[in-house]
Amino acid sequence: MLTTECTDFRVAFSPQDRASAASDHRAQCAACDAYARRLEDAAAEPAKPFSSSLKARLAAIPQLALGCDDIDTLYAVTRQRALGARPGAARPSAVRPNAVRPNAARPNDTSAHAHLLACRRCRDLYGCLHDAMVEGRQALPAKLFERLRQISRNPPPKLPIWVLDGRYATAICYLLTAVLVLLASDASARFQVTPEVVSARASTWLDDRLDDSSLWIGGVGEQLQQSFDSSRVWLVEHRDKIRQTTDDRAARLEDRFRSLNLDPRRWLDGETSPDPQPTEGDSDDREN
Amino acid sequence: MPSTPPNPDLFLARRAAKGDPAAWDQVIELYGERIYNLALRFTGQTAEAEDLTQDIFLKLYRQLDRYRGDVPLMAWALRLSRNLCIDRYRHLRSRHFGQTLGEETLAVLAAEGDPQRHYQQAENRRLVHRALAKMSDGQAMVVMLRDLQGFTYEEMATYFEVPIGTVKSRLNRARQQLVTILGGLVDDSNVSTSQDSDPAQVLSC
Repeated sequence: MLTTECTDFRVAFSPQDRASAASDHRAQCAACDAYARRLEDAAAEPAKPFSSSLKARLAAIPQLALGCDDIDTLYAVTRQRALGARPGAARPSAVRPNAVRPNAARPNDTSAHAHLLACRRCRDLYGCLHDAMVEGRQALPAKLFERLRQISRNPPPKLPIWVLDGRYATAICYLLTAVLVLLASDASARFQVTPEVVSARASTWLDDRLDDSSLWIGGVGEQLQQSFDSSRVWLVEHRDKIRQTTDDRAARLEDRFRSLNLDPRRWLDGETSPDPQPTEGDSDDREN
Repeated sequence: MPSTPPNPDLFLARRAAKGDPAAWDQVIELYGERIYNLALRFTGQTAEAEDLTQDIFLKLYRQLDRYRGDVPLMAWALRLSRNLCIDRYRHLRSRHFGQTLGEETLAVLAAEGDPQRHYQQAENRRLVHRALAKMSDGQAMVVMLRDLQGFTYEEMATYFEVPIGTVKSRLNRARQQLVTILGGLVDDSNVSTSQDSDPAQVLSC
């Protein structure tokens, strides 16, 4: 059993400059040696390496902290107003410095108001917190809770500094004036219009349009040529059939003339004859 | 006329507080691993230690503009972490402190060296942590920081915001209590290592 009765107990844990005394005592005292060895074993646990995921989490802390700072700043105003509005409560300036957090105890903090004007998210959050303070309940009402829940946890990206700080407005005005003067001094040369310039621009414009038209006409001509070629091929392929059909039609027409006692050649030469009397066969043909 | 040499810790803290990402990364590189291992001592679990480390660094970032450079930045960061560590330690030690640490330690040590010696080390480590869990918070932290984490007296004085002499006296009392508790645990578990297997050697002092 280990014991604390050893009178030289402290010697076993002497600092580094008296390490020899500690080792001598441990060599003589088994209890102190066993105790010290157990502590050494417990301390000998190898240092765990830093995981990359934890490093990424730590590197992202500035963004998280900005959100927290926003809320803190916001909460300071809410607290100040609540303290000032509640009857019988201490005014913010009368609050002991250590009674509340430093941000909350700081009177006349205008940075929170400036932030509220610039940040819609924090403005909504402030409205909810203010309403919650006005409600004066322990538990947040469901309606307010829903409003709070809908407000994004992540603050929006910071607005440009010149939007937030009016001190830069004068410098920006000077800069814009200087740019305008420079532009005005160069405007006559940059925007001067002469007949030569107009002629050159018109010539260029016409050349461009002509090039476009040539391209369009060339394209249309190529399409027409392709259509003509395909039509000629089709005609060659179907030439015999067309000829046969034409001969058949001619023969039938000639037979028809003959059945009407007419001479087709005379009709073709332009010699007319009195209209023949309609026959029964003729009426049948018309019906057919 | 010789100028006062700049305090590198103060310069780093100022840059990080003003939002310089490189400075913040440097703070993480310099102190992250040590604070993480400290958190691991207090929590005994990797996931809990990572959460605690993040909480510590979050608090550190928000308080960096209050750093005056009168103490090393590491000691100042450790002082900031004290309450967080104590709260997490109280919350966790009654539940599962010791078991997970032993398993993790065994897993780490199983890869190399003498298996019997590694088992003995793991068992000693488990015993010490069980004994620490039976001590009061203040005494357990003193032993943990000094004997397990290797803090200097100066760092511990900054950490606890007490003089160095107070640290030494607290440490002595804490060690004596640890010896008593550890002896009881050894008797209960009837653990005998190869070095102290001889009862006469153990009993005599």
